[in-house]
Amino acid sequence: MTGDQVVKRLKAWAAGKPLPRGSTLHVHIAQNPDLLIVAFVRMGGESAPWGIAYGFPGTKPTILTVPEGRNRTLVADMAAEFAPALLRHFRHRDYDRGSPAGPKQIGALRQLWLPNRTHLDMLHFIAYAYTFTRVGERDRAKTLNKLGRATGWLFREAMRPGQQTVMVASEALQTAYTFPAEDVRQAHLGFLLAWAATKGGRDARLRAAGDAERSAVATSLDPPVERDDLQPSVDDWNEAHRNNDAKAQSRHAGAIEAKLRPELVRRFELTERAIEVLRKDPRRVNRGVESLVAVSSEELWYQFLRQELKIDDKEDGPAITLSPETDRHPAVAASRYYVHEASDELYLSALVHDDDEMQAEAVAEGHALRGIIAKVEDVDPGRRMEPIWTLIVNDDAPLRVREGSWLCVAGLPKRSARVRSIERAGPGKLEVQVEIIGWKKKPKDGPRGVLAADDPRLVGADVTLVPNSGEGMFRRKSQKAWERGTPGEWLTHSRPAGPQTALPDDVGENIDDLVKRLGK
Amino acid sequence: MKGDGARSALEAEAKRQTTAVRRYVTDGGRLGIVRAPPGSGKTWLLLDAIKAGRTAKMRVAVAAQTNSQVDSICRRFALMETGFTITRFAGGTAQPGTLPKGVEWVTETKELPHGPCVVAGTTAKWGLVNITDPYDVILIDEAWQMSWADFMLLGQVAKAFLLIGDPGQISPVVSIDVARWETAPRPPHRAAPHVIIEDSQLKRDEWSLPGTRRLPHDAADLVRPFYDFDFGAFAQPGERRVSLDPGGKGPQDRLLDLLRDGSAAALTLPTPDHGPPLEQDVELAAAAVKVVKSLLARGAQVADEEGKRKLIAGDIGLCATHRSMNSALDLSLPRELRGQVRVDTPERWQGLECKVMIVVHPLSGVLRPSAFDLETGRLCVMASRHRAGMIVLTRDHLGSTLGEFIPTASQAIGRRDVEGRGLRDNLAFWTRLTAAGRVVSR
Repeated sequence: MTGDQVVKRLKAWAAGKPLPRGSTLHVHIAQNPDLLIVAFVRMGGESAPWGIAYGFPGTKPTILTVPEGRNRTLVADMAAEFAPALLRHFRHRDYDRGSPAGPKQIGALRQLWLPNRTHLDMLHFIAYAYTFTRVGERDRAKTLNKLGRATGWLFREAMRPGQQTVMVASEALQTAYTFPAEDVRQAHLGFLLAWAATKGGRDARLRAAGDAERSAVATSLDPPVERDDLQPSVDDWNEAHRNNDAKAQSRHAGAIEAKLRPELVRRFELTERAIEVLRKDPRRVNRGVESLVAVSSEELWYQFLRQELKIDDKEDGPAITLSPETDRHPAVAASRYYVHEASDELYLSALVHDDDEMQAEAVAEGHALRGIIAKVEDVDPGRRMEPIWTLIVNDDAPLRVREGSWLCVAGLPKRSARVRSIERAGPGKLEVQVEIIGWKKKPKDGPRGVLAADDPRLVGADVTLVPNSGEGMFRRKSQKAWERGTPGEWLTHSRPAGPQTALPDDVGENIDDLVKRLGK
Repeated sequence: MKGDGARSALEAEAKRQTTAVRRYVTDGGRLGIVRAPPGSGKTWLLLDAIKAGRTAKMRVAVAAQTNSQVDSICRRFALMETGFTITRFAGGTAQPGTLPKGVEWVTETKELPHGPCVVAGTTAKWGLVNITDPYDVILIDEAWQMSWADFMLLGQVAKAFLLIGDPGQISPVVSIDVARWETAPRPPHRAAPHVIIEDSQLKRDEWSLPGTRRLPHDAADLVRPFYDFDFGAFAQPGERRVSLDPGGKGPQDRLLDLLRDGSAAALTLPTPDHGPPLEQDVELAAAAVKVVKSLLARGAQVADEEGKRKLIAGDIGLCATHRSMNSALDLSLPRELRGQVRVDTPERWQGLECKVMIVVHPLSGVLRPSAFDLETGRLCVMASRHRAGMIVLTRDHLGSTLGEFIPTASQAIGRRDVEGRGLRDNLAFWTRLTAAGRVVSR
């Protein structure tokens, strides 16, 4: 936690309510038909769902439950029943007749909203269970494989910085507001919503938040609910199951479903309310979110739909089923690592240009510079313009910018600059010389009123320089990680040996197949 | 073995290693790794290998991790006067600066020389361009600062690889969540030599340079726990020292007096009841500057192989892990010392040295250390820059913080316990200083 975050949290406490974070919203919220809410419950100690709720905001959720969460067959049947809804939502070709045939046909981005991070973990558990399963009837196994691949991709995508496809409601709220509470309590969606939506002062909101957090929103149930309300019915169902008493089984399953249903509905509705809170926020959505959505759409195509269609891509690698655990092939691992690095760069750089508060934070943290242009000169005597700006900036915060750092003008990401020198210029002042590298001339298709970088009228102007994005470089690296036929590939791209990569095909991905495809 | 005998043995071993590496390069060795303790002459070994490769009419590529490292290699190679040109392969927007004769500046791939040559660039530059005329070998300096992902991109440059570096130093910077790749057979975020060494299937040759030429004898003992291999010190006990005119009896003077019979000493300041300042500890910065001023005021003299001479401000370095703390250190310096006493982060101190270092312990502002805090790379860099003396400054909770900490072993299955090992090594470092009576409390 940074000093700035501490101050903001204290301010929120003094105000007695959550305070907006940033001058714009950094979250994309899809239209209702493009936004699927999913919530899970599980038995204590189990990693499989006991019940699933799913549906669109404003509609009644579909509820699926099994009487015994430890019974793999029942859980797999339930998962297979849930699979079409998720796969259709993400436009899998077997479930959506209009499934895109290329990245440009994605259209509006489809989103998945989950109550909190434990529900995201459940996607990972489902991927582990079903990505490679061969158990049971063939068609069901194939459906489960598709579900496993989809949830595996969703879980991986959720780890990519700035992605807008898998939204964890509690985290979306924390992105938008500073809550006056400890980190650990902020994982509880009900707690956050009580702070945000309760009318009245701090005491009223605090009380409401305290009440709200007594009801679980994680995938696990409150222990007394599970132990006292559900366990007797589960025991009864197991007894009936052992006795092959179908009638009794049905009766007890109904009792269990009746107790799990309100738990699932509560989690679903809390997620719905979080979306409503964000939709009602008066701030506009940051313009940079559009680029984050565009990248998320590309990822949907390249990392999921293309893979399902088995289309290889020169720059994004062959279509393969990735392991839920890790990337065992070096090229896959390196390529995805670079994509995440690129996304991290894009996330901050896309948003900072349209958010004054983010810019102020970057200046306070020393990642950005704010000052007055004291001098503008063109140091190239020839026709090639080489504009140098001399800025005077306050030296009242730690400075992480160095000579050689790449920056760009806030609001004009293409006007990039490299820091040439940083010198002291009297008490509390620094003189910073930057060379303008990008957008030196008055841009033809840029915003109005932007002057050429060597225009003397810039002298005296306030300017903020924020970190320049290295996204493009990481993207290029991610593509180059696939290159084969190089002299050193015997080492850099060799198939790792050992038990980690020699996995049975019902457990792990087929590395040999990948190596063969790469060798084409 | 003592004195000159020990030094001769180290010299002989260093020579043997250098010859072996040279032969390895010219004989077409495919994958070699050289582990080098701080100040052990690895750049010299690299330059020797470059020269050998070029003499054997090979196409030699050289990679380092920063532009300044590459520039330094080019300058030093040019100064060797081998008669060979070294091509500095730079980014299009980089500034050539002043380069000596024998260094050619090239920014376009198509302008790179054909036939036998030496071309040096950053790993990033080599990785991003399209090499159509590959090299016989690529020699990689500071290889422990390079991630496996970045190393993979060098596959296009050459068929043979020699990685040289200091395994105790700072690992590649990771700014994203890498949980996905923690158990990968080739984790893209980890240092490339680590990945190679941990893969028993990858056949390679390994060497370890036998000793540090930079560090005083007792400093080598202090940093050795940070390494997985043994090494010695060329300097023998008592050869390197800082001597001072007599001072007072206060903690500051007692601290400096400790440098008369050893190269390392530490000063602790009381930890405030509400805990130590997190990043910027102004009181500690003032104490560090007071040490600088006292060293100069007491007419400190440094002795090493170059002889004995008066310590000047340019011989002193200051180092803290946070840039904001370095800002505070810089601002606390009197105007006449600013710009002379180098103040920087451990990342930027890598590869540099000075006579006396004054360092702020990385855990001084940390009461509940994380695995990142306990990782010893930064401390190792800080404690291995000096030729004669080092002063460590910290808040006095350090011993108890380390002593009471219980590591959680939360690393991925099959991976090293970085937190537990970091704790052990940090404890070893601090315990060695305290047990030897080299810590003064204020």
